[in-house]
Amino acid sequence: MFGYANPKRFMELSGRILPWLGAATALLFAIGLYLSFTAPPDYQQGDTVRIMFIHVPAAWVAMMAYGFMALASLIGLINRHPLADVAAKQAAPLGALFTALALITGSLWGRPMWGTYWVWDGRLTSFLLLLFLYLGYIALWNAIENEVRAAKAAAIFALVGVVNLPIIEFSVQWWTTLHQGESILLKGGPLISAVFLWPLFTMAIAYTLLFFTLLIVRMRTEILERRARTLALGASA
Amino acid sequence: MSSFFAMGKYAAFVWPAYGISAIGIVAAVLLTLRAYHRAKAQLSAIEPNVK
Repeated sequence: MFGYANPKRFMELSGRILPWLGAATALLFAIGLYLSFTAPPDYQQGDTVRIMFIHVPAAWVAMMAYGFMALASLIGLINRHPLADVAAKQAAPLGALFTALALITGSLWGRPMWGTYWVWDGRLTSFLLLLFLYLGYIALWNAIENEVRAAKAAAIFALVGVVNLPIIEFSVQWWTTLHQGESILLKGGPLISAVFLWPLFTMAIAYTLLFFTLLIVRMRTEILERRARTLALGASA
Repeated sequence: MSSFFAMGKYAAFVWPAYGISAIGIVAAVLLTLRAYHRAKAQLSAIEPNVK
C-alpha cells in the first residue's frame, strides 16, 4: 500500500481518479436531493424529516473524517510518511465544516421537534467538542513553523482526541438525552421506513464522496505548494 | 407548488438547514478549487513543464 504513497505516484493516480470522483459526487447529490424533496412528509415529524437527509450525512462524515485524520496521523507518526501528514492536515478543515453543518442542521431540526435549538446533553456536547478538536488541530498546525514538528504535535493531538469518537457514538445510550438513539444499523433492521432510507443513504454516499473529492484536491494543492517552496529555496540558495 | 415551499409550516427550519448546508459546501468547493489553481499557476511559473 505504501508503494502508492509517494507524492509522485499519488499525483498520477489521483489525477486519473479525480474527474470520475467529481462526476460521481455531483450525480449522487442530484439524485439524493431529488429523493429528499420527493419523499413524503413523516407522519410525526412532517416536513422536518427532510433535515435528516442532510443532518445525518454531515454528522457521519464529520466523525468518519476524524477517524481518517487520526489514522493518517498514526501512519505519519510511525512511518514518518509526508503524504500521511498531508492527508491528515487537509482532512481537518473539511471535518470542521461537516461538524459545523451537522450542529447547525441539528439545531434547526431540534427547535421544531424538541422545542429547543440546543441542549447540553452528552450527544450535543461531545459533538461540539469534536468541532473544537478540529479547530485545535488546525490551530496547532498554524502555530508551529517547522513542518515536521508541526505534523508530529498535531498527530499526537489528533490521536488523543480519538477518545471523543466512542463518547459521541455511545452518548445516546449512556446519558439521558433528547437525541434519538441508533435507528439505522440495528440487528433487527432499520427502524426507518424505506421511503426515508433511500434519500438518506444516497445523501450519505454523496457527502462521503464529496469529502474524498475535496480531500484529494486539497492534498494535491499542498503537494504542489511544497514542491514550489522546495524549488524556490533551491533557486535562491 | 406553494405548499412545497411552505414545507408544511416548517419552512423556517427546513429551508435554512438546506440553505446553510449549500452555502457551506459550495464555499468549500470554490475555496478548494481556487487554492488548487493558484498552486498550479505558482508552480508552473517556476517549473514550466509541469502540467
